[in-house]
Amino acid sequence: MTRVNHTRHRILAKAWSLAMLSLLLAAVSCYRDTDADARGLCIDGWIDSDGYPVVILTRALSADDHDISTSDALIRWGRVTISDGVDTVVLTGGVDRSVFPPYSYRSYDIKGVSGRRYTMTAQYDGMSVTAVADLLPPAQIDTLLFEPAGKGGFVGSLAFTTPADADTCRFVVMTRVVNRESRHYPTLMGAVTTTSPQTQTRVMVYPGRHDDSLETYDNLFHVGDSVDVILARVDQDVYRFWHGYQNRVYFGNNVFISASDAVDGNVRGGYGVFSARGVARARAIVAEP
Amino acid sequence: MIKTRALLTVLAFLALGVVFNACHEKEIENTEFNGGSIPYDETKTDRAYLEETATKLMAMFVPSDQQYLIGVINQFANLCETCEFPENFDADYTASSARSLSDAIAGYDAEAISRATSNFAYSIARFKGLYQHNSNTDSWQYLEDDDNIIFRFWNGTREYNVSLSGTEGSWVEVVNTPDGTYTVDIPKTISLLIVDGSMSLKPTYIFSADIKTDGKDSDHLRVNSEITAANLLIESVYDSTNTKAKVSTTLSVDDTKTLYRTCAVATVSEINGNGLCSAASWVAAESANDPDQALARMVTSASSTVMVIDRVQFKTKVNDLASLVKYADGWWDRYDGDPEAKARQAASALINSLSTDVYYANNTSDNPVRARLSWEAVKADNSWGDYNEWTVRPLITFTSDNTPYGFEEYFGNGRFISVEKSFNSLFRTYRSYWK
Repeated sequence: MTRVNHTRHRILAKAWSLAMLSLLLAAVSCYRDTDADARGLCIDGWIDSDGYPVVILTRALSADDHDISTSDALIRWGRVTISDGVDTVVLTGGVDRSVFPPYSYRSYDIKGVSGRRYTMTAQYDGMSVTAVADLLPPAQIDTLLFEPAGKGGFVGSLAFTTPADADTCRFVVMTRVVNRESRHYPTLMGAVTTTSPQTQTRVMVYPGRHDDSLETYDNLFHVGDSVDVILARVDQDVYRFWHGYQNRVYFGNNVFISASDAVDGNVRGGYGVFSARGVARARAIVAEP
Repeated sequence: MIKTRALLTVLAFLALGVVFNACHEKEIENTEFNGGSIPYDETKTDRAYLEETATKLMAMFVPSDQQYLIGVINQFANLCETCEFPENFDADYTASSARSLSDAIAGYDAEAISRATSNFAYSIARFKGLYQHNSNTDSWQYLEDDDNIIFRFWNGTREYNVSLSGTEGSWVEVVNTPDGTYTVDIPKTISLLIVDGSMSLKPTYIFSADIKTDGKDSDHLRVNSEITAANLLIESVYDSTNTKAKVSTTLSVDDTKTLYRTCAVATVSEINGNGLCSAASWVAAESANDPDQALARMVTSASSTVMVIDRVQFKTKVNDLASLVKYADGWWDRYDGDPEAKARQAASALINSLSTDVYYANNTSDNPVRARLSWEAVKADNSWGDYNEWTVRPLITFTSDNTPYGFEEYFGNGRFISVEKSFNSLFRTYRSYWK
């Protein structure tokens, strides 16, 4: 994994910070260019079924940029649009403390609808990127349980029934501990493919990883945690990104898994991913058995 | 006192959330103005120009300029909070007023300074006299009679006097409120002075009011206040007759090296109408069958201009006062019913009833509109909890490409990273003074 300036980022790492930073770094780990403006755009964005679009637009960071401030990567004056094939809206850029860097582009004039194809475009300083994602019907969550997993911690078990509309379905499981985390993080091994329609499937749910430091990552939930779980059905391109991302973030230091290639997303002309997510949600509070 | 919700609403909207209130047109010696020249460089993007303006604005406020003053006031507030007062004294009230005053000065909050000083001033008649801090007994001791209220204390090497004086002003009748009819004493003058040894130490606060509400054409309401806090000067004038109410304020900063005074933010807000000085008119309008329409008849037009260091000007007009007031009433009750629907309604009412154009010069007639402000309903940040809360936020949309950006933190914390850095540094520096 690329080395980053830990001291600086720990100060900033209130939320998603290092995970996102590592994503940015991973995304361009093969890309070497010293001109900050020529590195291209990086997208971290999503639209959920029955939810509003969110796009975080940054400059992609190069692996060489040990001293670059993440705030320098933030793009405040971009133009981001989303189209659902019928309407196109321009998203409003604004300060957003729930994400990192603390600035996002949002719109409350368009909502995610299952079955629609979403096209996102982002432009800044002569650069332009596009991503297309299909919003697929969500699965149905049956149960969410937390079981003791040693060391006083708990691990979640999510059972869901796969949708009937396709044989192969792809999911990303994300979690958020309410009041402690500002957004959902993909869980360990949370990129899942199913091949049997209308079948119950079970996946383990771990806390999402916030940074790239193995020492500080706690892979268990604890009594009192109110855990919000998203089971996001995604299309193939988006899945490929999250699958690559989990390999990068969780196994980046494992010698058996290569970390030298860039994560392949659905953003044409840039880096990152714009996910359309058919979302099923569950919430549970971890309690003593 | 004329203080209806509607009037406040209009004034509040005219101020448009800009951090500092409204502007004084008085010429100030040494004030640096660009004389109407166009500082905007067409080769820069308008975003870069705004960013530069915001950064320049922030750079004007140097915490160390107020460090000494804050130290003295903070010590005074601490003494008020921890020391005993004479028995007849309203100790809690005085302590909280002193703390409010010190916080207000540290926060550049003109309105809060005014409020805190007025609170103090109301106690002048009851508690006037000279009080000396006795460090042996840790108490304030009554020393001698005085027409003012004076607190005297030592910080080890120097003696300080915090002195408040005031003259009795008008008793203004407030009728038909939910609490019935009562009168409010608005002091004619208030002044606050802090003396360091024999030298007057800024801050000073000078307030004067001239109020006449006899129900005649000659009725008027004039309030002037001038606050100096170290190198900051906040001047405001409220001047109302029955047909016109005008509030103007300037916030100026003296550069401690060059001694030049620069106007940081200047605003003028104006309301035209009839019966504006008559409490009876306002009450009648509010109790009419259709109060929004009655108010709209009473106030015929309203506008405001906000100038930021002579580089960016915001010109606002109220197009439809009735909708604006209605919006405000609805918005206060927003927690009843569907929060999303209320927020969307509110945003569209604001868009229809207010218009704000943004210019990059103080001479708007020869310059194009660079951006417009509007409003958008947004789901409040619920990422840390679970709220279905909606709110309305102002947007700035550039005319060059019609792209909107959030405006609420425009010249404040977070809008621009460079500005954010300045603000955070400012905040931390101030915090270190208080510890």
